[in-house]
Amino acid sequence: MLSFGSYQARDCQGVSRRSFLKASAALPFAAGLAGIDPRVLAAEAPKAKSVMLVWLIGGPSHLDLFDPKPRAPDLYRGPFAAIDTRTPGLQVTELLPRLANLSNKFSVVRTNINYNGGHREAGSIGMTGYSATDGGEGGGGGPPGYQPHFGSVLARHRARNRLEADSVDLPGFISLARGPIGDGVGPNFGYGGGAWGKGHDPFMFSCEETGKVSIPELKLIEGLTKSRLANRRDVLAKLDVLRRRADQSDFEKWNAVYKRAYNLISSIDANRVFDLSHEKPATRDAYGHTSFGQSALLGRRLVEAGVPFVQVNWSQFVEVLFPNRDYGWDTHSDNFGLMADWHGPLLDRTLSALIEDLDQRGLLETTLVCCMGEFGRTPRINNIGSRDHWPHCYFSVWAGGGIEPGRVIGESDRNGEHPATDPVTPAMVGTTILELTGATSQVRAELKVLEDGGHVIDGLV
Amino acid sequence: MTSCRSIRTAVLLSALGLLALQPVRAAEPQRVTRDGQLKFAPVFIDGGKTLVYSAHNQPKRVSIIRLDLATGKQTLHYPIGSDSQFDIAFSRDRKLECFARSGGPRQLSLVIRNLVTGKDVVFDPPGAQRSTVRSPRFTPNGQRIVMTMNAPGGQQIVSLNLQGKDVRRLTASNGINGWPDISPDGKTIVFSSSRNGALDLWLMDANGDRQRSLVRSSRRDIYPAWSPDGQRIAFTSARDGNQEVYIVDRDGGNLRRVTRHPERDGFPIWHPDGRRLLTISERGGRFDFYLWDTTARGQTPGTG
Repeated sequence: MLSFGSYQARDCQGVSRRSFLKASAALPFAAGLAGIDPRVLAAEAPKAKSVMLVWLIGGPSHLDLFDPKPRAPDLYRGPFAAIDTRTPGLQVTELLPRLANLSNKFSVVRTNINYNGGHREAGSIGMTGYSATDGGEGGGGGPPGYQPHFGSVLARHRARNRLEADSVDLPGFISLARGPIGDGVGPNFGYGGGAWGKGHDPFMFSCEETGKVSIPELKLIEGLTKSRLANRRDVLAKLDVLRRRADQSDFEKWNAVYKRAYNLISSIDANRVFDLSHEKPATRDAYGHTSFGQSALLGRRLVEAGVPFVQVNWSQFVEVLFPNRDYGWDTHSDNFGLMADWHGPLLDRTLSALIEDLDQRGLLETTLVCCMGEFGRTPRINNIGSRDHWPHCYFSVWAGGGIEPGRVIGESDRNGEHPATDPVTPAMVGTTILELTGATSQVRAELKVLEDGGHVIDGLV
Repeated sequence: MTSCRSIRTAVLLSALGLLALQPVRAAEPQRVTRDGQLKFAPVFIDGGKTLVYSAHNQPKRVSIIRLDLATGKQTLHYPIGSDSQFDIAFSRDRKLECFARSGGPRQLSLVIRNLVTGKDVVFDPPGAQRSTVRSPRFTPNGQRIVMTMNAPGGQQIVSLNLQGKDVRRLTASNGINGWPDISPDGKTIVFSSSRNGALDLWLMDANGDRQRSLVRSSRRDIYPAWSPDGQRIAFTSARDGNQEVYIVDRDGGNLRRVTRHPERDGFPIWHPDGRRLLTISERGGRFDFYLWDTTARGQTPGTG
């Protein structure tokens, strides 16, 4: 079982058809894992081998982070000072001193727009590039007809066109979160495979601030431990029980998860990736001992191991003034207190550590980092001294993987309410990510995704 | 109940790494905890023998933790409920406690708890669907509470009585007004305000009169805390580019820097002995309490 995967990737120029088939046959459920077509192997290397999408769920305030407006009226400006960065023309707020000193490694887009002001809708649009008018949520689509996440698209493409560096042990799309990505109402419909089915969903892992990693969905069967999961007969018996008592959709979902989990635990190399104790303490410290920080570190390890798409989600653990909700950056109340105490500094620490770590390991050149939320927050301070949802203008941060660093793309108007230059749509975000990772317009046309309305963001690559 | 027990067990276990308190003899701080959790709003009670603070000790909730500094034992101050509780304050006679509570998804309320009668008074700011209540403090005579509350276009500092009535707005400026602390004699309130752009420290009389600037910088100055003798004010500032803790005399003079570390230091409060300062300092990406001897050598003048 150890004669495939990263062992092959280290010692061979590529994975031969024979060895790949051998590896596939060794995996009990490999055929159903990622739709791998063994007839198609390595393709020409794209600029970005992997993507890390750092998703700031809830909608971070652009005025309080990457688009300060020190000359805006009192009701807009906010209390945080604007500071210079290494990038001419780029100021950020005083909450981001580390990133200010690292701005030569990344570029900032200041004119992102979305088409909806709700978390689930905007999140779905933001992660798929499809708006309601494309037949998605609210437009007659919705689950299961929603379009696939950028990560699902890339994973499917790479399953058919593997790069030498791509892992055969690990899923092509991994999302790191404590639970489903959404809001208090429910998950975003665009979190995964959508119309392509659950087989194209991200494999979800939860990473705690201690570095402990778990698979939340496997909790569907009580008492299932890692050792018992490895015992196929035991699991089949459990599945039989579950089949009788669960509805079919739950069972199918779990069955798909189980198949992939079985693959993972069968691989010692894959297991090692999830063990953060292999990292130097100083490295773990640099990311910060929050769920978000350690998840970002785990994401780097996954990229290093050859996972094409990793989504690192802002943890619930730093915004829990309102309990039992997945609000993240949804700072309707006490925006400025939360931003000063936690959100701003923790993002500054973790994102700067991630970019520096990737750079020092020589991974930044081939890893595309994109950090953004589903929208920004109202430039005008609301009637309780905070900020609400604002999809009309917000920011994204881009680094590595073919991105030209040290640039500011786009300009918002005087108060940060609307783009003063060409807006950047979710379809353009997706097109840029996929183009840089080798899912070209031809590939997208074959997969019937992001065919219309999107192009690579001008000036970013 | 099982959940409560397991949480208590976890809290107690996390205290195993706690260091026994030793006298501070140098400018180097004394580390008080080692759990590393995100924590905030500490308060000394029992003459400095106990520390009560708010902590993100569970994935989806904030709780108020009580730490016995002699034994290192940590317990939940209130039983676990369905809400988050934080920013606790105590009256001098210890008959009253108040804290902020998140009752709804976007609503912060003030709870005034009378330990003698066992009754709670809950104050919800107007515009109840979304509201902000932070940093409550009892006046020294225990008759009123001063705190930060939401207001159109910003946040203001208000005072109210123990029945949650007679709300008086003490600030009425533009911008954010917050983090109030009342002088030991009850006559003066120090707070932070962004009325001139950046968050600066201000003083005002207890009734809101004579609002005047205390210290200014181009970066944020927040979390001011009066010393027990009322002569000094500790606060958090990013004026040197990183978040550190400073002390200034009540007349705005003699500004000096207490902490000096590339990571963050903040949330300062004074030990009742008036000599030591407690901070929550980020070290190696973890957040713990540290005690600093403010009389030791090693402090440096701060920049204005």
